[in-house]
Amino acid sequence: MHRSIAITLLVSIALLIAGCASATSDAPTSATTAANSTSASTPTTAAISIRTSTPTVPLPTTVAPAAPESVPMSVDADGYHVIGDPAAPVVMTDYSDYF
Amino acid sequence: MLEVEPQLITQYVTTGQMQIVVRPLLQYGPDSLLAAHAAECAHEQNAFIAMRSAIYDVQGTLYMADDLQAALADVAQSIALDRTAFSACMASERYNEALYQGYTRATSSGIVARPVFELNGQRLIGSQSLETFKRVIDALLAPAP
Repeated sequence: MHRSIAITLLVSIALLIAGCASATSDAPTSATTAANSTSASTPTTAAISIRTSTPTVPLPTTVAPAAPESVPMSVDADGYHVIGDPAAPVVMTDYSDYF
Repeated sequence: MLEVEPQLITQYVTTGQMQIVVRPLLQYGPDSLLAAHAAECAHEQNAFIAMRSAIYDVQGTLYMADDLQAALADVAQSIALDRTAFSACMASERYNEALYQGYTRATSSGIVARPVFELNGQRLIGSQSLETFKRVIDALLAPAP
């Protein structure tokens, strides 16, 4: 009787040890954990570098100056500003509002 | 016009083929007058084109400004004008009469909307593409048959 109890106890202990061993093999190793934590922090760093090098919001385009410095400017007899050579053959009159 | 003006200037004005006469309209009343006056005051500091361009660049901001006169002074300062001289010019309102007269002349000649362009008298109403401008200008520059 005592012998059968002892055998049962030993088998139970053996099964318990086997179960723990199996659970341990499924758990991440310390190396895997370190890798995972590294991979978790790496995207953050990458995302920051991406944001700084490639803006997600388009930067405003710079509007070119209306006329280069070399373009002559004058005022005609009626007091209107003339951009360009007043002797130029084509005269474009620009009627526009600032608003 | 502003969008295509740099290209037109590069292709036709710098080559001596075309001149652009600027005739400001005042369709938004006092605000238009202030902006046009600001360009005149900038001209006193040899910066008419720079001011005109700068005003167009921040047109939306100026339109929403609570104090347009102060905002225009900010624009003037941003293009390195003497703010004190500019503000004194603005306060004088010395170009108002000429600007009103010019506007009256424009409306009297049938300019009732903006923008309007005349190329050797040929009138184009509304914003135009670069291609349209080039077609008309090139035809005017072509030798007579």
